[in-house]
Amino acid sequence: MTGPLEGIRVIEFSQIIAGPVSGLLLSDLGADIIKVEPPWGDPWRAGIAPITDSESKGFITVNRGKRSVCLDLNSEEGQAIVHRLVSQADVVTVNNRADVLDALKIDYDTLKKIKPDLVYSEITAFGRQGPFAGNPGYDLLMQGLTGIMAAEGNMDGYQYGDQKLNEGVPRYLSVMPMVDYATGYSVVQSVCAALFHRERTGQGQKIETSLFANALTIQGLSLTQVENAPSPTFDFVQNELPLLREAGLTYREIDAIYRERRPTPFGAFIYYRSYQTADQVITLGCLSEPLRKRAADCLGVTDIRFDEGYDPTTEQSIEFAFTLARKVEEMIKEKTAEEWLRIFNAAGVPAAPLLYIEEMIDHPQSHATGMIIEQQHPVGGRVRYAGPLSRWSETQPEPVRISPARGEHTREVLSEAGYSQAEIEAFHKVGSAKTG
Amino acid sequence: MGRSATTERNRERKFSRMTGPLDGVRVIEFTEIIAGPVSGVMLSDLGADVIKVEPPWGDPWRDGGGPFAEHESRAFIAVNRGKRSIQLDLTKGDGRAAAHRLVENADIVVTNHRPDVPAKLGIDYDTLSAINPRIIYAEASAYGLKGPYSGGPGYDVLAQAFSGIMQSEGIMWRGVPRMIRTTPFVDFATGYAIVQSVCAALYHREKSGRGQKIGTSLLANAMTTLSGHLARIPGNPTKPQQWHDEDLPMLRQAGLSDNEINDLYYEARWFPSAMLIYYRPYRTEDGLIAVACLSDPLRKRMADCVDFEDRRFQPGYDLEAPESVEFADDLLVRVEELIVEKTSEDWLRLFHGAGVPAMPVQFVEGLLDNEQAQANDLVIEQDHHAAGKMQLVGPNANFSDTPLDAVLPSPALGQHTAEILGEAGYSGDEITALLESGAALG
Repeated sequence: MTGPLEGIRVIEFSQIIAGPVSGLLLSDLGADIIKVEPPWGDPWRAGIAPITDSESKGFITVNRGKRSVCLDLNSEEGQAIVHRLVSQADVVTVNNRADVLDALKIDYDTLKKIKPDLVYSEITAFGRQGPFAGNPGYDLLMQGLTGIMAAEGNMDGYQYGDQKLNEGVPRYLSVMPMVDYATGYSVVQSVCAALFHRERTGQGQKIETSLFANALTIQGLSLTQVENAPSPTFDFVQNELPLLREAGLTYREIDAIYRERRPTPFGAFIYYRSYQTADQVITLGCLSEPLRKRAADCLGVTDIRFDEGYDPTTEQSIEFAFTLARKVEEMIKEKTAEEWLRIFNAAGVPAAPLLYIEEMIDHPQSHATGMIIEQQHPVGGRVRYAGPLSRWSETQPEPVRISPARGEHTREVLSEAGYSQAEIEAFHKVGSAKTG
Repeated sequence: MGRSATTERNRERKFSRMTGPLDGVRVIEFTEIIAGPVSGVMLSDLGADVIKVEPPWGDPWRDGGGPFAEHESRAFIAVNRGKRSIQLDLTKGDGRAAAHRLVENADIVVTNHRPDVPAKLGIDYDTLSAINPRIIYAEASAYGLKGPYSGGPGYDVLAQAFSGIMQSEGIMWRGVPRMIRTTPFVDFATGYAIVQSVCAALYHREKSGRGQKIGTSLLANAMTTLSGHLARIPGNPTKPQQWHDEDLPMLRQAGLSDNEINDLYYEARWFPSAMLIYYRPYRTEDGLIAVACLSDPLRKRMADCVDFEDRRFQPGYDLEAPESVEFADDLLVRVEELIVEKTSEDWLRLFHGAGVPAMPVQFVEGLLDNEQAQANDLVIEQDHHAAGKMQLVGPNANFSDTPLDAVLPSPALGQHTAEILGEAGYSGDEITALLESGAALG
């Protein structure tokens, strides 16, 4: 058994990151993923960290577990091949613009006629309605548009050699395209739920989600406004911001005011942040009162914020919070990371060392949990990256394939679909299907 | 302010109108704080009946960010809508028996405790699968069930620290790297992972008749989302990899401070910045915009719009040559100077006209009133028992045949204890007895 979706076939028309991530996760769950690529390939083949013209680490990472079929969907022959593939598939994922889907004849209405119980998943940037409906969407734009960048508010710029770049504008979060990944996850959960529904009722359906929807979802905690108790930052955005913009203030000036409106000044946190110890940096993660009290006990500090009836908004309270934060910073510098982790762990206080992402590749915790898998890429050589993200007692999925070369499996998949070798050669000759 | 269609529908509908692909599926959620509860929200969005079993003191997150009443906070509401709350004391025999009776008639159990806690409370997979062999049991741990950190506590900030997210972002604050604080992203990714796993397992159970246990972790999902950084290919070593293999051990041994190491780290990992001008926020004459061109055709369009030459589009151009780096740096400054000359509106009109991906940079607080969010039913309105009318982020997908409809607000602590015990077959007298003994509360 290789995962709960064994026997499910997915046709992936989607490109770049969000859609391909969903294909990767579906393949981890045991589905057979056929990536249909245009003659020029998924543009992300030329993505970050290129190896050759059509292979990059960016591409390999989000396309393992798939087979590649290269078809020209502008040709009628290419469309006919795709329609035959869809008739034998369970799921289709797309992330193209609506007019492109129609032009390539891979829109839901067309494919539903070919495969009535098809589960069709569509990712758009902003949804099919609203003023931005037709606009392109990328992780970065979502970070800017939905407030992720503004909330992080890091305007120091990037150190590059002896100069700083991007100073004065908020930096985007670059360690991962979080909105793309959230959207990829969202597609998988919707597709699996729809497969369950289809199994019970025989009905397929179309599911739409968007980068925008998932950017909002992951910021659910920031967006929870109670109308009879609006937060100061909501008041700020609704009432002050338009005036400040009109007055021509720079972003840095506006940001400074925005930050002042936060109900708890960030600098006052002492239980949920990172600290410099005598040597390395450690992080504390106490989110509930009992844990905070344990941390305070470990540190030997008295925190008036645990007192009954404490009012966090008074000037004295804020003064106290900042003074205590400075005091704790000094205390933690007195012992090493190892000493503090031993103390916190013994007391049941959530704490962890601060590591670099590169350290995860060889970390015993990654290996003990099977989170690092190793594969051989024909061009790139040995690849190590994150493996399936869940453990299953009955249907443990196994990653089986490295990311495919463009059109690597055209011959194999068309042959499975019932095309003869002569037909496949003919497709290759006219260019409607490319056999790698 | 225009209300979305979903909001209008919410007003008219009652709880009895269940929709979504998971209609009829029952979830028992033994989870707290964020990751587990997020999965419950999403499962409820998909149409499942989600019962949140809370301890006598309630989910500690009830006192999380933005408290406005006893046992109620904005942060709790955000990740607990769509559920019913039953309050049981699992350390008491009767309370545990009640939980077991709920599991008998359920499809899914979700837990996110430390690995040793479920067995102590009698809600471990072995116990529950003996009661209901078809049960699908999803367990979210912090670092996985094996390895040196398997027993460790897990919170988003620790996962960010441990997995390298914090270091990689390198937002320094008071001398140390700061967490990404906009969203507890690792928690949310783990919530998504639970939902997709549970749904896949439901599909599998429908075909095979078998339930099973699924484990995922904060670390697993931090790493999944970090895959791009983790792909290392010997033979094509990246600067960060070289830095990690060769420089880092040396620097640590030499006793450099973390701050000093950090500066060197950022220098080492800024390899992708060659094309930085096409994927970043810019200051305009009156505000901020972001552009996002990830392929050469899009980059060329942007160069045309802004009107500058980029010789790096020539085939065979070596991006890593020293003169290339210098060219990139000079160009960056020039493009900044060009973009600051026009207003955001001007640039967006130009870029959109030419098909260049670009958007304004906004504050998150404006999104609930945002036309785009409203137009796509992403904002819902609910009546909360303590908060009154409130706006929340709604379901994140539209299903054509089984539309999603978020109806229930987050519950008061133990709000549905009697109702759910009644459904489980307890008589009125039995329920009274349970409430009197403190095995059940509410």
